[in-house]
Amino acid sequence: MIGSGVSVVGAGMVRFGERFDAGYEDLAVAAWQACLDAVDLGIDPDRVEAAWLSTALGGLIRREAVTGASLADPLGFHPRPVTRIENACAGGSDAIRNAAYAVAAGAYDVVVVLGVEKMRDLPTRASLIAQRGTMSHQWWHPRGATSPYLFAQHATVLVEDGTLTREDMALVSVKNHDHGALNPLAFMRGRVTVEKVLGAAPICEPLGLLDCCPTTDGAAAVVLCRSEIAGRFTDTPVDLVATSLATDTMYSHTKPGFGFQDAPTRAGEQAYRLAGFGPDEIDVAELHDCFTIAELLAYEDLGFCGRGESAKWLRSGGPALGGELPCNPSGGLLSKGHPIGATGVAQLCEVFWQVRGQAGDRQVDGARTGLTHNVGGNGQVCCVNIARRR
Amino acid sequence: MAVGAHIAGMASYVPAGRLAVAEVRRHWPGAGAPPGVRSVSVAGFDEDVVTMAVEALDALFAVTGVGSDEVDAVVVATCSSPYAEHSAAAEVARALDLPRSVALVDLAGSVRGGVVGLSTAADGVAAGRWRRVVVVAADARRGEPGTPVEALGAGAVAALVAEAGGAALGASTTWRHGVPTRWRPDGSRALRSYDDARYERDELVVPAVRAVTAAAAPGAAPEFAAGGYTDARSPAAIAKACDLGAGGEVDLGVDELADIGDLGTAGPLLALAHCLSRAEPGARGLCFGAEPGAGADALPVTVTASVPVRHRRPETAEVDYVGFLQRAAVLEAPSMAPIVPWAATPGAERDDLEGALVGAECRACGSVSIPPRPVCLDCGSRSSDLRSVPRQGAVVTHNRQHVVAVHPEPTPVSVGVARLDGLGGARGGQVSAMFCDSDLDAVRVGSPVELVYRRLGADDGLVKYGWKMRLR
Repeated sequence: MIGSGVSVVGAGMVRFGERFDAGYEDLAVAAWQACLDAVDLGIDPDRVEAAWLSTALGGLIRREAVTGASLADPLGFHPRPVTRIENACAGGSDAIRNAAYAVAAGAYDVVVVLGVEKMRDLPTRASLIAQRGTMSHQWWHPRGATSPYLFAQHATVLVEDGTLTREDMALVSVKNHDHGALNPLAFMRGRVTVEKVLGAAPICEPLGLLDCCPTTDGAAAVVLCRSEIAGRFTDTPVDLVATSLATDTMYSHTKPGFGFQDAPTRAGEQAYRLAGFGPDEIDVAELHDCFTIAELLAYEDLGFCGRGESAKWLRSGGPALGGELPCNPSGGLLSKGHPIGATGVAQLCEVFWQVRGQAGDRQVDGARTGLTHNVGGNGQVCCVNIARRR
Repeated sequence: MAVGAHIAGMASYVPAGRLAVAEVRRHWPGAGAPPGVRSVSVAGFDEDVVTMAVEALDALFAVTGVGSDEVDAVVVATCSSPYAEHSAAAEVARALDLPRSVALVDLAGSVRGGVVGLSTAADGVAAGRWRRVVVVAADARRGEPGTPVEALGAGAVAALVAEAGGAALGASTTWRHGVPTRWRPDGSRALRSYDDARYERDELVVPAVRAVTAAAAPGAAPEFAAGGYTDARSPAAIAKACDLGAGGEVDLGVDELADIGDLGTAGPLLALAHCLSRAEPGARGLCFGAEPGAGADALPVTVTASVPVRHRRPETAEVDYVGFLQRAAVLEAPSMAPIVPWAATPGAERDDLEGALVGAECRACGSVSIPPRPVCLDCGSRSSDLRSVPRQGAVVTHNRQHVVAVHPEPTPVSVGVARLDGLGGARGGQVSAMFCDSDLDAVRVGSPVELVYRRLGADDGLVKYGWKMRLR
């Protein structure tokens, strides 16, 4: 439990994709409205006292400083407070964490956390993949390094030492696309095969195009409130039982090794400690599968399987729908999409729907407790949140 | 023709700036200048053909009462569009929110475009294809510095051509004649000229204008003859040579020529607007345009009722020669907020320290933090010594990148981490770098490498240097 208790009582998101039909503000307003509309017993919008906004690329793409007013203005929410959070790809989950602590501290009864990213206001080749490693820091992002490199460097080590095969990674893509095909809000809804993944254009060897998440527009929002008053908004509140953030060093070459990630491991351990239970009580997980290899690392970092056993666990069907602990039933970043600042919030939306039995064709039977795992940079930061139906 | 085409209104816009021809001659005393022209109009820093066309069309809609949603076609004639390729008519339609279905006609590359635009609109209306067409001719040209064609005027003139209106348009005539004496080469923004004004006027312009005006109004002495001119002395000479009537008998519409100069495509239309603003019903005349060396076009115009005309003239402001060159982007003022090349910043100075082959060797555990840190990466001790690090090592991990914005190196390129020989630590003792001069197929975890000093790219011409690794 976080302080005196924080609950999730509403969740909403827009369809992820190449949303050429909608701008940054359109996406944000739609997600805001969707999450308020989803509150079971209704909510007076004036009861929302504060908001947290997660967006990562706003400043780069919109060429202006992005403040909380970029959410308050289109909503007419001013003068109420909106805090903008940026923490690379983990910003969405970290915004939830900061909002939760504000509620737990008694500052507010009801708040909204909203993540939004408008990535396709740039051509795909100007996206994160291409932007790294041109004139950046000598050691941090050496010349020629890209975003896929941040995770692919783990894959090389594990493939060369025989721990993993390219097929093992491809199976993550196949699984998550299978899941995403069942999610009407997902971006890439087509199923793929191992052959198709292995035959896709190489991006950052050993990763190919279908090992990588797509450049995505999207927005997602959740309503948080003090647990004591959750009953005013719903008969089935979901309690946020743990939220945890860990950091690691910045540089790839100052990580303690490859084939595991320190910050996600520590964020997971701390979240389990706060929750008072471990991975065996997790029914469903939304993992940061920005690249296929990242999901395999997450299984082990979070203790879903033993070290070195991710491929075996994947092939046993453990993380698939119907398996031991379904991972990324939403389709994950690979299929649902990865609008940077919105991702962590969308992960909690999926967990909210799953533990309340509202996930439609991709419902995990009997799910009550869900975990989100949101990694920033090359494992520089990781935020893990755990929510449980009361 | 099934129905007649008429001009139902005209409007013009001339920007505020004025460059005195004497000011140009002060800097280029021997260069010559267009005779009789005192000054030329100069577009502002934030003005171009599109914005001036929008000003003129806005005035046209206001004076005619026609709504922008009632227009079937927009014809834009210019020699100085902001785009060498891309429809200026589309930009004008976008600015004025014209209907999505509006026909877009771009006429470029010749000062004949203004009159050709009027006849195109008239033909479209007469044929029943369009009911209302707006024609706008706009230019903001300049010539090579130090030549007689350097100072040219800027402005835009618009006309509404419709089934009904005060000035009936007849069938246009055209004539090709001569060799080019004014041209702008591909890729250049400055007009060049064959500097012989009398040859140009008497042998190139007059024969073409005589041919088209004679065909357009055979046997009749016109009451007005609206043409475009390169200087302020030639209108009377051309009118006389072409039997259009001597000075005082025919209205040439050149009221502003000496003040604003050669308006290019817009010149004949501005003269026509001046003529129509004072023509009595029943008056007959012409509008003609000529490009020396290309020929001429003429349109007969018969006034049946008054034609509404509006001229937008912001209060003029004198522009000196340097200001003119700045506005014409011959002299480009440095931006007040330049794009900063990272390699020149204080941050890059700090990066250099961190990017050097220097590490902090921990006195407690021996790990070497690269770049140096006050706290040991591995054990947290605060006691360390700076030391240089070896250039030899072995690959820890590596990836071949196929989609990456490096330049000029071709893709793929490989990037990786190396552990440097003899250095201690789990987190310490390693560096990240791009591979160079190596067979990328041969790179494996454990491959021996050495660090070499290379270019890491250039930003605004400033080169960034640093370390890469190659197989040894």
